[in-house]
Amino acid sequence: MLLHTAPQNEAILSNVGEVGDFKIKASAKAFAILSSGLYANKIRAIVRELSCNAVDSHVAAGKTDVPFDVHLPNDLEPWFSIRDYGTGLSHEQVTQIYTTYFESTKTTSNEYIGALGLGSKSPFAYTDNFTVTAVQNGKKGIYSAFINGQGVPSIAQMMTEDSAEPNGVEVKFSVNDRYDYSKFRDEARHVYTYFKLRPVVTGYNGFDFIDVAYDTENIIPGVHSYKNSYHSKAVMGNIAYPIEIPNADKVLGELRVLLNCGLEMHFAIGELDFQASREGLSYIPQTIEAIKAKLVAVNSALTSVLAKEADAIDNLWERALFLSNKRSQDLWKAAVGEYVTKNKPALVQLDNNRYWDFLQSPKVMVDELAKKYNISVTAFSHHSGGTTCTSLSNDYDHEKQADGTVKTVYYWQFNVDKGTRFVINDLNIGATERAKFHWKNTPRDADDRGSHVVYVLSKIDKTRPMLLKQFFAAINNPPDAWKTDASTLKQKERATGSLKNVTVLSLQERNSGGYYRSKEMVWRDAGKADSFDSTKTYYYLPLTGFNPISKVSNGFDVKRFFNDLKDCGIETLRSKTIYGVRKGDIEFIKTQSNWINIEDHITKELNSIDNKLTMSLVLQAVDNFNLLSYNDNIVYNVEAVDSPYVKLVKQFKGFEKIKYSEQSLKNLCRMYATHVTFNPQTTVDKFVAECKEIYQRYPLLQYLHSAPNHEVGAYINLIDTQKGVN
Amino acid sequence: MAYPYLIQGKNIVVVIGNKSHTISKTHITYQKVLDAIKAGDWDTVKDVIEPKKVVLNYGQGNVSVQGETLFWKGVEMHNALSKRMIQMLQDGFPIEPLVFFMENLMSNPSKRAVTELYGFLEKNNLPITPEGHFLAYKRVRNDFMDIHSGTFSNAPGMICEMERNQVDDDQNRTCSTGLHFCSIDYLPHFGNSDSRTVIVKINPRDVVSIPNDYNNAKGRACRYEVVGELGVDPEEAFTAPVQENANTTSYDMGGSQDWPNPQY
Repeated sequence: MLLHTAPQNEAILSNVGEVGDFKIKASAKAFAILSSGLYANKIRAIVRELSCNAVDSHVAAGKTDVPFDVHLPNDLEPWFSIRDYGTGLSHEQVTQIYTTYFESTKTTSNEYIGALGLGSKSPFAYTDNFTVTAVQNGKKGIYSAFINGQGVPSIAQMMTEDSAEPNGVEVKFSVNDRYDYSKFRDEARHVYTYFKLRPVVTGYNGFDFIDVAYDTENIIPGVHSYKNSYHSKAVMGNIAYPIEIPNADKVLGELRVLLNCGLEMHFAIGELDFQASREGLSYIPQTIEAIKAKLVAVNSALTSVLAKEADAIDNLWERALFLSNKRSQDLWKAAVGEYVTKNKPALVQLDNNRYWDFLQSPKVMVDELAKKYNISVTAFSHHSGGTTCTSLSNDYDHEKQADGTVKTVYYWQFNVDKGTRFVINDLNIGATERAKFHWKNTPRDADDRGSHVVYVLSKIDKTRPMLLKQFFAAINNPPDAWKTDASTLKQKERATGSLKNVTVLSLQERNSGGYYRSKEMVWRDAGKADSFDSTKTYYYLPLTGFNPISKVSNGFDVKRFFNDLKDCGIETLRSKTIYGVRKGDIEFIKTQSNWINIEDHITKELNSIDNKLTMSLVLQAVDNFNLLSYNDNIVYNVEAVDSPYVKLVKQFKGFEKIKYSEQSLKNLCRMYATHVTFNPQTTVDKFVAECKEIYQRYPLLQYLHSAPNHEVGAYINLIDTQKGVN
Repeated sequence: MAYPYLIQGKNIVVVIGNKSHTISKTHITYQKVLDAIKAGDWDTVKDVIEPKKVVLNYGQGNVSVQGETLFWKGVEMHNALSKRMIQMLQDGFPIEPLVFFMENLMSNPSKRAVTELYGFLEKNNLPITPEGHFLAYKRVRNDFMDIHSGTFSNAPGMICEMERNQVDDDQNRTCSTGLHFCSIDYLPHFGNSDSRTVIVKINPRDVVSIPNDYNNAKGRACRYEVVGELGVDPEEAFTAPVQENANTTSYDMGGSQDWPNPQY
């Protein structure tokens, strides 16, 4: 090929000293760099360079339809060779041109792949020794090229004779490492992928070529897109180069994303400049321009296809969504940009490539909706995979007035989204609830992800109609199929005295995901009431939404309530699951004898706290050292019958400690105090005072909690003796 | 006549007739070529310069080549055996043990057993014997009785045998009836510190199945001969492609290492 060498500018020198030229020293180092150091992937380089030479030689001989031969190394024939049927080489050509670095006969025409005069030396990247067999016009010569003792490449003529063999050249070398056999195979597969005429490969029975799978062929002539690939390649003269333009975003702008689409772009030989190793392109301005021109052409072809499709969509909302969808695909991104710039369709806008700003949702002021169209809007969103709807409120802006004050203005922005729906309220009441119920209970398609918004449009002045036609025109007419009358939506079945219509929730702790964060409480679906065992008793809280309706408290903290029950120490309270029953179902659930309002239950349990429970709670509250529970063995050792210690502990005889939180019990008692006639806490307080006296009378008692019983008894006797027992 | 040649680095280039031949150090006949060139023995150079030709000669008509694939009497040779053959060729053994081995193998009535045996031989580098059997290891009790039942003796010289149809031929039943042998990889998995290891000689005809646990490291046969006790480190027991016994000292039956220098 013709080389892209820079034009030779004449240097104008004046008033300078001696001028000398740079030189290249023909040393072992220089040769090693040029034949081995040049290539990163050496085996691939050899296969590629020798094959390109073979192709070039066939071009020169006018035999472009004749394949060349490749022999892959194997155990029994451990050599790699390439034999072409081109022009061959004369003895002079072998010894003069073939062996001269940078000498090439192909720099005058773009018919040839080669030009640098380096490829024929590439076997030295792998081996110290290869043979060249050249046949030209009845003369055959065998030459051995080798690295001599000084590290410099040399060539020896091994044989010459007259021959009837067809013209051509065979390059052959032995592959020393048998683990490289498969590498030659793999690299050959890789290199020959883009060869227009594939060679005849021997030496490996199962050799097969890679046939590239395309997604789209000839987007424009000579540009295809690959299946399942994001990397684009430039193909020039049978060789594929990766396209890795430095600073591509700046150089190519929006076109750069096209390179993410796995494009295969074919260039004529000479259009692109490449690295001397031919392992990549050289990004001189000409290379970049050639690639850019091709991308521009691809994009304008895509744009015209896109324009045709987009123009065929009449509804502006649907067209905007179509464009938005295409914009998210790398192949079409720049085409959409071009189309939008040129045609300015409604509801879309290009804004600094921020894809989330591409769709422009129309905005209508709340007061405009009211005055102009007699419409009020409520809205909610529903999510894929979710069973709830979230109410939405209108947006607002702060508008600066002429007098410098700031006024808040309210508006609705109608989401341009394929799931957006408009519900026209033709009912008296309950249209929003009905719509929510409808969308909660309408299953979505598997590929319909994300959150969608439903707008419910109602009359403000009930005596006048809504001006729907004008309103929809103002927002560019969303598709008719997206508009529904509320009366046509699914309706919730009312609870009609059957348990199967009663939804029950249960209060559960949700793992908060961290060791140190307290757990949140959530209401989880526990199924319908008919799935519960009718012979068992369940305790519920009435709910409105997810908020409990309490008989005693307004600011009901469900988490505290749950923990208080858990920690109050009263067995009949702490082990209960708390269920939630929705407001609408309460009247019915009240008729079920096995469903009990938990607040009633608490009141009842607190009322019926007996002495045993009270004393157990007291014991837990006062006996920090395990010395006040009744212990026969200590009492036995105490001599004074009237000892205050004995008097105290006898009151605890027969009771055991119950673990509880005083605060929790207090909370419950306070909340349900009006209904509770007996408060265990007063008893606790009384005993706390008594115990304090005991500890004061026997100051060392608390240190004896691990002492043997008789020693505790002895200590009590000692104090009793000293202080007297009355 | 002398041929033009070039010896350099790892490679030798020889031009014979109007054809160039090139061979590297790792190739099977490199040393022979080098020696022949040094000795000026040009006829030998011509014979050994092409590995393919050498292999064909070595195979004595049993072997043919297509591309890189070897065929034994027209049937593609399993990789395990073609590798073995090349190894034998390089180490200077005659082809006969392999000929006998192939004949024995072909008389195995079960195609499945043969296929499984290929896998076993490929995984485990076990030698064949001059009469075309192969050697393997077996763990036995201290008194040479079998570890599993303790009922039959595996003392050197014993021939153990059972009816072929009594041996479990399902490779998925990993512990079952049959006369077991194993490769070096299986040795640590069986027996205890008191156990001995013997070398058994198995006719490939008598192999019934290779259980698929332990990565093809053990097998079941219906007959084998105990040829000796392992007297050396198991790693050093088998070093040549053809051996008569392990490289033991106490039970060496002699002769295995003294093959005459083969002629191609």
